[in-house]
Amino acid sequence: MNHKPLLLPLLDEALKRGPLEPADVAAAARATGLPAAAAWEAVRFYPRYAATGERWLLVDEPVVRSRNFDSLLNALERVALAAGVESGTVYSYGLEALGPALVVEQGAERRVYAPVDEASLERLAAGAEPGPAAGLLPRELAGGGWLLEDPPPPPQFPGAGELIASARAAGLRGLGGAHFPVWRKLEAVRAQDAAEKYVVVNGDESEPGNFKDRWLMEHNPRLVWTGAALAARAVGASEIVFYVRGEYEGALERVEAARRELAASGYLDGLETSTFRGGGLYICGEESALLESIEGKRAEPRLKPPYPAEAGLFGKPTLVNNVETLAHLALVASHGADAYRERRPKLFSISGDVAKPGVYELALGTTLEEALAAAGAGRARAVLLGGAAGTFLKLPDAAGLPLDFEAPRAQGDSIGPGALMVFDETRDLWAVAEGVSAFFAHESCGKCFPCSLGTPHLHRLVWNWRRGQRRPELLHELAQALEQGSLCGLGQAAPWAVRSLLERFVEVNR
Amino acid sequence: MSRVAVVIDGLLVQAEPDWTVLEAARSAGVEIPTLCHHERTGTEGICRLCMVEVAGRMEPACATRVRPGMVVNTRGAAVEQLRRTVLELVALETNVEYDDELSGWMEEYGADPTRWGEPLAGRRQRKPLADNPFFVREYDKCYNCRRCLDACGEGIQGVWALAFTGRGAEAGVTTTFDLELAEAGCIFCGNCVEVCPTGALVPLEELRAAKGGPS
Ligand SMILES: Cc1cc2nc3c(=O)[nH]c(=O)nc-3n(C[C@H](O)[C@H](O)[C@H](O)COP(=O)(O)O)c2cc1C
Ligand code: SF4
Ligand code: SF4
Ligand code: SF4
Ligand code: FES
Repeated sequence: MNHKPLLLPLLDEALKRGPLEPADVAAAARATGLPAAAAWEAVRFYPRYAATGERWLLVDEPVVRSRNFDSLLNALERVALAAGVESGTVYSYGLEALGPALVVEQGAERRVYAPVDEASLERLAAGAEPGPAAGLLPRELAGGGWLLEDPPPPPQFPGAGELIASARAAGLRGLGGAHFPVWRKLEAVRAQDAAEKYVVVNGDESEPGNFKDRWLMEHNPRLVWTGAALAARAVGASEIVFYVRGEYEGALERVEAARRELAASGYLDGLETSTFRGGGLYICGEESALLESIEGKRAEPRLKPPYPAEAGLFGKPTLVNNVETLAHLALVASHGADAYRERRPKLFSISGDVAKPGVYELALGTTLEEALAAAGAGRARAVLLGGAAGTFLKLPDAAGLPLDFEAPRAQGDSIGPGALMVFDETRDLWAVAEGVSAFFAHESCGKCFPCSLGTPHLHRLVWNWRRGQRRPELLHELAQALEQGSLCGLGQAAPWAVRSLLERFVEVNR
Repeated sequence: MSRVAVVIDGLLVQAEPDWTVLEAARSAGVEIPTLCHHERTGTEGICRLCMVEVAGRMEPACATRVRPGMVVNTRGAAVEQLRRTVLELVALETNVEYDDELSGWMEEYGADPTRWGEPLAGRRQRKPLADNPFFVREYDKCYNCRRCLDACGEGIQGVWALAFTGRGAEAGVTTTFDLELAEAGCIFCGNCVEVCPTGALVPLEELRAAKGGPS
């Protein structure tokens, strides 16, 4: 390891002994070489260091928002008040496919249940288990496919030139949302002349509606590590940090177990590897904020340039790739670019009004209609494509839209990381938009002015709109300010869902 | 080193290669409003008031290096609307009574904070903190521009008595471990007070003088 110990793991250790005291924070700061002020900033930024006592939390995500969120929250507040326990909400746990979810928080420990209903809340109040534990996604949530089956034996490293050429020939793009060509980033990090380089696996997946990375980390982590190891050898990195979303306890365990297994087999020889428990906020998934959080700072996006490929973790050239992207890289190395191109596999997280919500491996270019049919959608009227940072598509207008990198983009949409949240004609899309705007206001990191000040106003404008008080001109101006003025993708994307609703669903805006 | 030719509001500017768009604009006499940027502290890119249009995209002038052949538009409807919205939100959420420069821009851009209704950030409710003999911290007037943090830490002083806390609209400035300033390691160098653009950090002498008392 070429760097000092990392702050968050040290704080987590201290947290096991009880609530954090300034002395713990000061000691952790000393060990990491960070100023105490920076360590204090981290403590005040990441939610788990503030957690005390017992709290009952309803998971807030777009699907439950379209259904019985208000009544479930009311019921929760009622039973919690009677029990003298604090209640509230937390954002998406990647459980949209299972149904409404509940988190019972005890200090830094959390137990998760899904699906839950009002009867579950009564059980909780009576001291019983409120519903099925949801520490892991059921394996059966995913059907068949290259990414979803047991992985092939880890392939031999074919050499940097060949691996990068295969990634290029395969047409592999980043699958964390932005679809940047993988070969170019590999090439950029490889080209850097530096003694130390890093590979960071982005397993933060906190965008509501997405759970394919969670499934991969829980049920196929070896494939992801394999891809990360190949990438590290290709770019000349000597250390891999696998950043797993902090709330994904099961994924953390499985990723770490897979690391050990693969290390024991010798596949990771010569590479320093670790599993890092993420900060527990959506912004931690933005690549430069993620690097800041590994460094023990507030997870705030950096100004770019420089990009991580030039100056990433601890200022060293760093390859940051999504979990699914690296799994694909391993498949390209195993099966070859030609076989890969024939399939063009992509994972989709499908939830909402479908008979079989889950993780689907579909060929890129599958039409929306075909994807919905695969998951058993009845009478879908709208799809929130991509996730919370996505747009509403209207059906049947969009039925023939190919779900690939280009076609949605040509009309101002994007498959993003691959979420499809499906809503039938009985659902209140403005309730979904209200939830999405609340999410962005809650997750804004506080760095730049338009997003930190503007997202709460976006939420209020949408809230009022839903209740009949409409200010289209303000909504439009704020959407522009957020999209054009925000420092990072969080603020920039915050108004997209609302704007698409305004543009495409004229009939519900009256 | 050879200069970089850029066009700013139709003017051809020969910029030094390490200049920002802001520096290039200023060299040509083009004014761009800035809140967070400060040369000595190195603060940049936070407030987004200095956004300018480059090839149809908005970029912060203070944090964007000149690139050969760049065509920059520092005004125009989109830029002005963005600045107006930022000014309105800042003035709605913050007590801006001490900031004459901001008032000037508000007028220039026709900013009317009342359009947005009641404030949401809770900033205006913050009480003054008087925990030392030199200055008061009135965080109801603080924009979160972070100049003071950079002045105290990496930018100038290397003391790190100040820290940033919270997230989103609730974020703000505190001290290490939320201690009183002196206990947090402050050496009362006064750099933070000097760079604060809003009057949130007020020297006690000034306060006394303003109240007509002995200084
Ligand atoms: C607010 C925000 C959150 C993000 N969250 C994630 C995430 O959870 N996982 C992820 O892989 N990428 C996320 N990204 C995208 C990353 O910044 C980055 O593009 C990605 O990790 C690059 O990997 P890829 O090229 O393999 O997609 C996020 C971006 C933003 C702006
Ligand atoms: S856009 Fe929002 S999340 Fe991104 S840097 Fe600005 S305040 Fe932080
Ligand atoms: S006066 Fe104190 S808080 Fe301000 S910059 Fe100097 S040391 Fe830091
Ligand atoms: S106190 Fe002044 S310098 Fe510090 S963040 Fe607030 S406005 Fe900026
Ligand atoms: S002055 Fe440029 S972003 Fe603040």
